[in-house]
Amino acid sequence: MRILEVNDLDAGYEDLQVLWEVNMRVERGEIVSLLGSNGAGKTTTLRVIAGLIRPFRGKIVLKGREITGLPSHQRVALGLSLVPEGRQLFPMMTVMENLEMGAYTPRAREKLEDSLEWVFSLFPILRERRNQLAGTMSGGEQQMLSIGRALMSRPELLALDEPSMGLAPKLVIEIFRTLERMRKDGVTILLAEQNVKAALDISDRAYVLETGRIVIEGASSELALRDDVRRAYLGM
Amino acid sequence: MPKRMSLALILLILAMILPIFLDEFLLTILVQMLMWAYLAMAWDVIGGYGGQFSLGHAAFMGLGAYTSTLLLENFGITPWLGIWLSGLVAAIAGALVGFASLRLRGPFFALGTIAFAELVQLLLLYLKDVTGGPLGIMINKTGVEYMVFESQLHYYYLALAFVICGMLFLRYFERSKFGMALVALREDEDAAESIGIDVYRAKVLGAVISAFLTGLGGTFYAQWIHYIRPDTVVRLDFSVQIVAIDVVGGAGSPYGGIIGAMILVPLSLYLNAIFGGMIAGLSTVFYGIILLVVVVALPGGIFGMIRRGFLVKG
Repeated sequence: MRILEVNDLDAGYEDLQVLWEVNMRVERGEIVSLLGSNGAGKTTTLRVIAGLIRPFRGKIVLKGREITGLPSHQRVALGLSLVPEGRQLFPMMTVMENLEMGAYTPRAREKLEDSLEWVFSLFPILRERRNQLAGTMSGGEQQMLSIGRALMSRPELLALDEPSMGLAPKLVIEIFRTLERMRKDGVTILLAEQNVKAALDISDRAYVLETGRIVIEGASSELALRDDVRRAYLGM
Repeated sequence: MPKRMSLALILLILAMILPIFLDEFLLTILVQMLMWAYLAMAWDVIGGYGGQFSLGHAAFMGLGAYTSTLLLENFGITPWLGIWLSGLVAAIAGALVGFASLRLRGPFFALGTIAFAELVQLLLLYLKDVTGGPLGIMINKTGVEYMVFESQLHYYYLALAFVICGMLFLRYFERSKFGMALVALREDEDAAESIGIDVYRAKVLGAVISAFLTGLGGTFYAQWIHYIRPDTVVRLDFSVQIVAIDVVGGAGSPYGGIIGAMILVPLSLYLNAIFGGMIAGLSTVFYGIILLVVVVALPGGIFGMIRRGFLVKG
């Protein structure tokens, strides 16, 4: 079953068009990667999907319902959450308060206790750090909190914008493993990444963006073997 | 926790008993201190917690002052009732400004509130059949039933009640879901949207609550000063003073208002007493400079410094 469909999307910022005719789909239960180098348009794509900016043209469909004009907070209520680039925590709130804020919608609030247990089981370090101010944690812990906070809204589809950014390789592996566990728990994942190898390793399918256009798409395992992908993104 | 409770209790008892031994002059200063502390707390809801800088809160104060005073002088309605209508009128005004200027990010709310305060002042001047125009209105009634007291001591206790209620409200508010949402959007609007907060709605609601509380303070001001005029109530330096007190004391905390008022109110009265007649607009300049210094050198204000101290230890 299709959870997300993006049709003929043109988007950007005022006079600057960043995305050109982007088409994507995500099936329920998948991990889908959105790859590309810096400035290719990954962040813009995710911001349009999350509703933080309006597209110039095109359509976004979530669970069969068109959401193109819907404000961001209503998309969260429908089960679509974004883990923004650079983490964007509430630094002056504690870990616990950040997580509680994540369960802001009424639907999520009902499951607050349950969700907390779930997030703590995925990221045990957050339980230890629950009374610490979010701004005082290490980069990796902040990324875990950022993902945890998004999970508190009980998303069906979680979009992550470069969760590996600025993290040591060991931590990247740890976080990506957790993404796989989240998928087993029923969360569909759309992952924008520059770390192409790690992303291809865990995803089922992938799209490659180049200067705002989708230039390659296919099964991740096949992409990892393609010469053009290996040359351009894997340095081989 | 019990330690802090007993500290609060001691402070409360001191605040109740000490003023009995003070003369009327010192009491007027204390009353002003408490009044400005309360107004700063009311501003804090949207300005401190919400991070939306209003520079026109004197408008809400003026609307509150005029509402209850007009009801009192024209219809004999006691301010004990009128004050709630003052809050309501100010709240509606807050909603209007909010709707118009909070949709956008950036300085638009600050600019909008300044413009709105000018508009309110002009309207109060223009509608002279109702408001008395530039001549203002005098409160002629006396008696406790009309919230007009003989002694400053009684105003002091009323103002103290305002401050205590304001503080209790902010303590409750900052732990509430809505208070946390305002803090969240202050820290990062995109992140707040991303977790499902309707940022626009939260900002407007914050402005409404803040304006409501400020309107109540406006009634107190009118009852205390007995005479209101558009240019003595709805004025920019009042708006700036409210901001300065809260920011110096510590914006986004229940105690910033009172700490800031204890420092700035006596200081500004002192400066006015020395330079008062000589240089017009001196107090605005004074508040401007203090604001700059605090924002640069002491982010979080004095209470912020105290709170950081606790956090480092804990």
